[in-house]
Amino acid sequence: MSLELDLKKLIIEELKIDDVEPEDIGDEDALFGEGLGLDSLDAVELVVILKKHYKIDLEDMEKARAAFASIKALATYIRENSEVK
Amino acid sequence: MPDQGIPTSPQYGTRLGHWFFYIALKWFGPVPAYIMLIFVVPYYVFVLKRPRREASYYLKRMFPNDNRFRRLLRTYQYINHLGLSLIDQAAIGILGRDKFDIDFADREKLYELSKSVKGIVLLTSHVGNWQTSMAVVDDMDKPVNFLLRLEDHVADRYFFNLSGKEKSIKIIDPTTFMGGLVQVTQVLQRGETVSIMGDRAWGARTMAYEFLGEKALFPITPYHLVAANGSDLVIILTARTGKLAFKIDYIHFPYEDMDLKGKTKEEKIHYLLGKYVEILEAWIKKYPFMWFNFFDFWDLNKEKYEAETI
Repeated sequence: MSLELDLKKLIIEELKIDDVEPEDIGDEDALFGEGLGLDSLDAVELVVILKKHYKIDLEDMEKARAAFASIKALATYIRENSEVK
Repeated sequence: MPDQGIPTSPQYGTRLGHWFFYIALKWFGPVPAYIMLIFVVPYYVFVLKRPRREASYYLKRMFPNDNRFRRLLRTYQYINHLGLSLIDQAAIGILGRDKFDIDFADREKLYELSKSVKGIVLLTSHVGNWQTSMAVVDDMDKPVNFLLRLEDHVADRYFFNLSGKEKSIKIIDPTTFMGGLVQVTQVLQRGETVSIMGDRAWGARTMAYEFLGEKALFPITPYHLVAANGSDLVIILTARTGKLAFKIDYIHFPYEDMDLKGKTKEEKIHYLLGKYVEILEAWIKKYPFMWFNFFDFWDLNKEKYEAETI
């Protein structure tokens, strides 16, 4: 399973997003606002997911901003920063 | 979260706490500043309409049977307490906390708790003088992070700027990326403490809960953080008990001891919010002129309270 697909499944499951399947989310779709429609409280869950599943700490908020742009950006960030791939 | 998502607060503090008060405080201590209130408070209560209107949102729920004269009297007491509180807020920064008599019986419990590896969500409220609560956490082993905008807390700048506690007290600005919540979650994961106001809904997702007899809107961010991170919840409430004298109540809800198992996220938030509202309401009934909130929490349709979290 690709990291991108893994992330989509995790987000749908952990954020309890109804009526959305992994294939409905494009790799470059915006996660927040228009797009998947996540908000800042969902961002909390995302930080928890990153820590729990990929042992990643988001210390730099500018990098976090870039990583939270899309599934592709998040996957890239994980590949660059996690030992758990 | 954009700037425009958070309206500015009514700045009675800006008016009441003009430099004149601060100079008086610095040179002569709090008593002359307290005396100046005798002249300032009647202006706010009897001349200006806005303070009366904004005080009435709360006072009419707290004292529903008051006639007009009684309401005016209560408004005077209420604004006078606000004035005293604003002076104390500035005084604790300018004069230092050593000048204050702070009764915080559970201080050691909070200090011990802060040493644990788990993060703490420290819930404060606009009661008494919550800045006093800040002053007693400023020498904890790990940093305490306050989610607030300093521009909304004019008198508090004296506390933050002058207390010299930059290392132990950190500010997270809710107007930055994701309302500061990514950073907040990060510090909770590091086992630090995050202090959040539980009774101001601006710019945050809210949930309605029965408060003083009617449904009111409260922010859900603190409870979401507790539920997502498995953090402990601590509520502290500070009452002014006399000249430069305060009493701090401390209520600790360990995550493991809370009845959250099997609950959905919304149910967890509702449960935790209920705990807070129950404690806040009981406290307010004990100190009715020390809850300083001048907003219509009970107007469930107000646009400014709508969810606006990005």
